[in-house]
Amino acid sequence: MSSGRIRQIWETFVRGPEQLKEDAEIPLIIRDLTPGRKKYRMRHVVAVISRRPETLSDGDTLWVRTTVGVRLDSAWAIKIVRELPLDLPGVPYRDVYEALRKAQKMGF
Amino acid sequence: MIEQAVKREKNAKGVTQVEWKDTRQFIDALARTGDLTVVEKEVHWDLEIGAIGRLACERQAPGLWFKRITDYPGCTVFMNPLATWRRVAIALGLAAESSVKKIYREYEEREGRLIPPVTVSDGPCKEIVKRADQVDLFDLPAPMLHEGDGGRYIGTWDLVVSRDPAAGWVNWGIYRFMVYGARRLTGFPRPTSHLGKVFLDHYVPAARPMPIAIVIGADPLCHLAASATYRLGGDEAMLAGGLRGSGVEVVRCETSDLMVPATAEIVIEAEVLPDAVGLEGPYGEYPGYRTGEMGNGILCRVKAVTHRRDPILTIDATGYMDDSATITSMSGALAIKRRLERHGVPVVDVYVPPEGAVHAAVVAVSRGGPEVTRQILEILTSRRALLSKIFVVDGDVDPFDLGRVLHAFATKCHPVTGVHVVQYTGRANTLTPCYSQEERKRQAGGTVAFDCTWPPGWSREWEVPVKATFDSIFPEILQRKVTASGGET
Repeated sequence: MSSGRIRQIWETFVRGPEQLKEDAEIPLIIRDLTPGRKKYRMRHVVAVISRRPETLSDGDTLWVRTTVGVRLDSAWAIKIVRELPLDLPGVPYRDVYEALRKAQKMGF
Repeated sequence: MIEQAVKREKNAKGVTQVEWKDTRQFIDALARTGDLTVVEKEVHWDLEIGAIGRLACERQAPGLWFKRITDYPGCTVFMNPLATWRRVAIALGLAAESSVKKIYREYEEREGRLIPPVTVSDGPCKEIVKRADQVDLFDLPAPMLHEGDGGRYIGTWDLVVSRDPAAGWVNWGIYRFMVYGARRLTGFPRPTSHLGKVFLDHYVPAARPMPIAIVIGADPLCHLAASATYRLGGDEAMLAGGLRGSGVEVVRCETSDLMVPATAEIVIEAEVLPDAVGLEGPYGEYPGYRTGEMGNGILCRVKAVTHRRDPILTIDATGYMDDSATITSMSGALAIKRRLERHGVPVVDVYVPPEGAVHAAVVAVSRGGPEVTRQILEILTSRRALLSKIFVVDGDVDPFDLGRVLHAFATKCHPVTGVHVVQYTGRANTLTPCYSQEERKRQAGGTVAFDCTWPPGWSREWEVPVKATFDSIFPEILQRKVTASGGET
């Protein structure tokens, strides 16, 4: 039976499959694919993801793109746990994913 | 004749002045010469504009002016301003059908004649002023240009104004910027770019935000100047004045003391944060590929946006044969020529062919050989190594004639002793598609120079092969006779 909730659609970019850790809270940079002027707005979040959408029944849809922008064939499920700051503390020109991991550890 | 449609005036000093002062007048000029397609039907900012613009580049088609953008009534988009030599010629006030060599020579002549900007107290770019919380970057129709890009790129045909706080020197450069949030942008001026270097040397160590102004839709020669490969400390605003034949009118920003072209369509005033980051890229870039350069850029906080009424967003459909194929190639070629001359290389001419995506250059020299080739290789890779292939040809080969260049390469480059390679770390072009992700991370790469010249030690009488072409292997008197009769003797 449908819960009536509309699943939102998000997209993330990752450097490699090892970043897609399931059954754990992980930091992600996601963007909103809702049509309209604000489409592609970015968010920094801590989330739980799963490659089996049925295991996250109250989750949203997550598409994954690789470092060269290719979208993986299957959609994942995502449940956003909390927000991380849009201005991620970090060093310019250094890896943003390292800054993201630090932000999660610092408990933002 | 088309030249008559493009007005070109000379002032009292005999300096050529182009007639337009802004993007709108340039659009009118393109319409008069048949170099503009006006798209009246509604198109979507999400990929559709990008696809049309991409195809136009690959077909070398006219510039595009999209009049109705989905979700954005009141805004229009002008695409690929200088992506063909015809449009570059028109921008410079030349006949649209001018040869590439003629355009190079004209640019070279004007480049040496700097004219300072003129400060004005107000300008069209201030018709609408939005500050702080009034700013929402999603109010502008930044397109998603390629399927799979990291974001909506608003800065593709821009000029970014910044200042070196120690020397007071002002830089204009074209750098990519992506919309991240209502008041956030991420960007990728390379760390080795002039902006990147000033930011890393002066602002990051002091933990100070760096003011910048992202100017969109200034007159085309301002953008041409901003794209120029210019020396550190060189003033692109003065170069733009030289190219136009009159000083660029500039007006002060709302939130910093940076000066921007007064007739620009849109100005985004921002500061680059010294202690925060965001995701930037990946992006289908000028080499014609999306290489995976992602997540190593800069984050900016937007403080104000000013624009004209009914602003025109100018966009480059970045990729193979985009705007960089003409203007970056040309200014890059002339910068190479000047640099080699300064180092005493007997350079005759330099051509950076558009099809080579600013990765390959042809250098013609009056005296070649391995020593000269090696010298050229070292000079052109000592600071920033953007080129990966260099063809060194003798002065009797026209570097603009790629058929002749390929002939010289195929026949004169010794496959064992004619290939010179240099490798480096920390200054390679991270957008070069053939590099691995690991090399990109280390900015590691290499450049190869092909010596397509005869060894200087070879005797002209006994060793140098005689070129078996019409203009080389027959007596001049016979050549004249044959050409006079149209080749039908």
